[in-house]
Amino acid sequence: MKQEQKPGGTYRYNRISFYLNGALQELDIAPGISTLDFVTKQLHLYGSKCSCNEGDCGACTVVIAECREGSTAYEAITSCIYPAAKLHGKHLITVEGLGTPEQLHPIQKALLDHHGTQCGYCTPGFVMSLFACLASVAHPDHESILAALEGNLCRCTGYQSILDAAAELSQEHDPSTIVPPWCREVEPKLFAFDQKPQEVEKPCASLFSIDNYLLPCDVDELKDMLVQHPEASLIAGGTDIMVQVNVLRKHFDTLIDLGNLPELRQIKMGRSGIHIGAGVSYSQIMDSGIAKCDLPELVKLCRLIASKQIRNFGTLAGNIGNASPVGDTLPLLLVYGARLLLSSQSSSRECALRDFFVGYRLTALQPGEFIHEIIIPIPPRTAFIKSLKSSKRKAEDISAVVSAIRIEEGGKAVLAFGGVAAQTVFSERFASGYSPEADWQVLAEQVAQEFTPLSDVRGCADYRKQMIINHILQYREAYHG
Amino acid sequence: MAKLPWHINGPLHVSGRSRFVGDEAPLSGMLYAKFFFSPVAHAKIIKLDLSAAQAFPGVYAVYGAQDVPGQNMIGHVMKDEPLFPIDEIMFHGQPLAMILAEDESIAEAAARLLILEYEELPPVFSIEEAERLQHWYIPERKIARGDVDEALNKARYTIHGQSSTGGQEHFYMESQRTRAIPCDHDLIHLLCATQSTMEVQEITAKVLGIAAHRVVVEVPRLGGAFGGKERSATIWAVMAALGAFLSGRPVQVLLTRDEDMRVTGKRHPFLSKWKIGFDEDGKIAAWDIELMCNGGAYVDLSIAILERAMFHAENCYHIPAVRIKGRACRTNLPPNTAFRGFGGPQGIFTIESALGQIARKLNKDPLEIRKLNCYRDGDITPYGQKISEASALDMLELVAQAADYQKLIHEVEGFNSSHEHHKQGLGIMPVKFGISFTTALMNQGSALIWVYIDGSVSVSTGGVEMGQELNLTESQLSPPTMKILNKIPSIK
Repeated sequence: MKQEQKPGGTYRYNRISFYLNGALQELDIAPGISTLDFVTKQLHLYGSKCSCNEGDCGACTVVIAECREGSTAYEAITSCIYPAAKLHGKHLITVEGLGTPEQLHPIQKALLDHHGTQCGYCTPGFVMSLFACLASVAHPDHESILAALEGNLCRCTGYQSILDAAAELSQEHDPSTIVPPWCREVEPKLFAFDQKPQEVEKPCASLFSIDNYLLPCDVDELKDMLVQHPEASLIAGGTDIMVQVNVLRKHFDTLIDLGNLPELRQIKMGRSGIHIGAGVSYSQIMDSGIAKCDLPELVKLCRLIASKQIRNFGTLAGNIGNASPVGDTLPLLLVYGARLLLSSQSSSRECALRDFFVGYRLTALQPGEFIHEIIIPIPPRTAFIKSLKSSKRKAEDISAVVSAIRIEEGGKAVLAFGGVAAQTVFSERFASGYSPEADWQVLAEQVAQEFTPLSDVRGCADYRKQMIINHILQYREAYHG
Repeated sequence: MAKLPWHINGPLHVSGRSRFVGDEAPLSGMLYAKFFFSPVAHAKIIKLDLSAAQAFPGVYAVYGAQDVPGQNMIGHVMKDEPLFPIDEIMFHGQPLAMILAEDESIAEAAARLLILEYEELPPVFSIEEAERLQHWYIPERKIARGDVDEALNKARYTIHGQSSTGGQEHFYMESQRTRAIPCDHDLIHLLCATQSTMEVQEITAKVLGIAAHRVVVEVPRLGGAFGGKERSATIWAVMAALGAFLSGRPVQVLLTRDEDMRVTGKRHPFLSKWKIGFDEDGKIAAWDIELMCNGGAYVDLSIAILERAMFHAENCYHIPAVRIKGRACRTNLPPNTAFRGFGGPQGIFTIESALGQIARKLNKDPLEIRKLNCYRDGDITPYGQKISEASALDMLELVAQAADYQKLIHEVEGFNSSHEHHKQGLGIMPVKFGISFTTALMNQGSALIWVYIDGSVSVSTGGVEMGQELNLTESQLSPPTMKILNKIPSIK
């Protein structure tokens, strides 16, 4: 946090073009401000609500339509932690666009009919989450509806009336009646979109937490920007950086956004494994046929990360680059033997994930480098691979302890933990002590002694040690059936 | 059943058009308020240096206790809560000064520039510690009926126990907020997210040193409250009013979620110590209980909440000999406050946990124990009310039948015997809840109804719409003329 920051300076605004509720806009975005602040404070659209300002409650949910792999994806996002500059080239749909009090959208009408609104503060967010769900899938089942709404809190209704409305909508509608014509009209324009974002210097009386937000258009430009700003922080989805900005008021001189680059948003099958680009969201992984087929445990784990709205723009690369000791995917990626392709203007190198973490939130990433892609070797079908996450809530929560195990057919085994040390680590005790004849209970207690976890708000040291034991015993149960 | 009419506000809510305080266009010239919150739970203030914040570009003013024109007091039931503390900080997060600036980000940056010198005092956080120090707002309260000591002595069985319930955050989706607009002749118009318009008006007037009729309080609606805006909204409304009064400009106070969760009071944690006497069937003969609540730094509504817990300490059960004692403890937490049930759940929890223990002791189904002890017509409650039209027993039986309780019990037992790590539980309990305020004079209401020349009607009441469809209820209660006109009246 820079104490010397004074109001009255100039900032570099991002001049971007995007569609807002059907109409093309060219607007200047203050550096790094959230989509929620942008739509409320700058556009004076007050339907999207700020309640938690960290992506947990869903009152700010809006829908973004963008073209991806030949079709248009309609995805709900929590606008409070979605940088507005990312809207460039996309279609932003807010609750105001869907309907008016006189002419309600079918979703709005159904919520009204089923008394799915009481105080009304969370309601726009529910409308938009339902819109994304029903626009993407015809007749979603109960599980899909629950998944679509898990990131929306309501304190009044008890949810049943909202679920009743959703069930009726699912039965009586499909995307053809849910997606309004003005949304369909924008779709081809998104495919044809070729404008480049600009930067403009403007004075402003407010203070911003981010001085400079850079939007490269391709990987070459990204590399150039990193040469010019070697100390810049990289932002992919922004689901963690924006929380640091909103809640901790953390200051960033320069952020470079690599989340919008088409070449980083691909999942490919290569000779050395599955390549997941740095801009690939958790939702993309969950929808990927390649991942479902060869990395089913990763797909299962993604389902436990945050909420639908956050998985829609949070990335695997961000989870790695953030290097949190409780990063949800890190133990699993470790046991997969994942490697990273790290690129810069002058070089390109591969780094094993286990060598990437060098301390508490410290990585081997050099100035000027960025995570280009994650390469996961496809494990043999005979390998037993599983990951477990312990947190206070099933969804929308940070792990207290997260772990992953891999047992090869030959009897070799590895086990990795997050939340028990300053970084995600392998258990050496487990790797050396495991054999097909080993006593799991004894081994579990020995592994618990290997670590000295911290006590914090998510769990005390003793609780975390107990979780280590419990995870191992659960693996035993799953492995032996 | 006939289809219920829509929520009057429903079409606005679902289309994102309903208006909430603060989620609307800024007023021209409006100042934004942020606060310097105490970084310590209990301390003596030596010096609070405002100068760096005052000098920060874009800051209009920094206000503290010395700037209050009237009484620096927002306590209502008891006069124990200052707007800004003068000597003694009572909880972590207590606002010590208010910064007004041209922009929210500037006010926030300036708030970090205040320097507090203080001498830390020992803080008290738990009920046990407060009890040991006898930190009570008022002397012990007591409700008694019958000879409890004798009944306990004579009882076939007795159990001594201790129960506790924790705090709880309201998490109203809309955080605390008020907009204050200065008008002619010192009149202050407040657009306020409060459940208590009258209290805001009364206390604002006292703090500003003006007459109550100079304060207009308007509540468009609330984005949830759950008790958290009954008392807890007052301080923020008064802050906004003070800012507007002193600056002559509109002022907005709007807490972030983090500020709100850190500095506002929660549900009262309770601790209870009890003895219960009963016979071999599980019929309760005596109930001796001490209820203690953690009220936080100031009394707020703690006495009324404690009393309601005491009034609910026997729930729906007839007990011939009862002694209920209650003590509300002062601690160094944000002042705990009203929260759905207002002490009722905490009182009920204790007797229900005792009933569970009786069932285990006698190896009986807890539902049988509950049914056996339910109030019947003619029973007298601990506070002397004669029960008539007792329905708890019938309701329990109906619920058990409708839910196929015996079958469910069987299923749960089967699940538990076949699962080592996962267990299920099952229970049915009645809940008594006393309606109306315990301060009886507050059980009245009035409405102001205007019929305009064009035939349209407007209704003004002190009721606050927060999702309970109050506006719809009011329009249904309004005179037949409105039904004839078949129009939705304007409800204020």
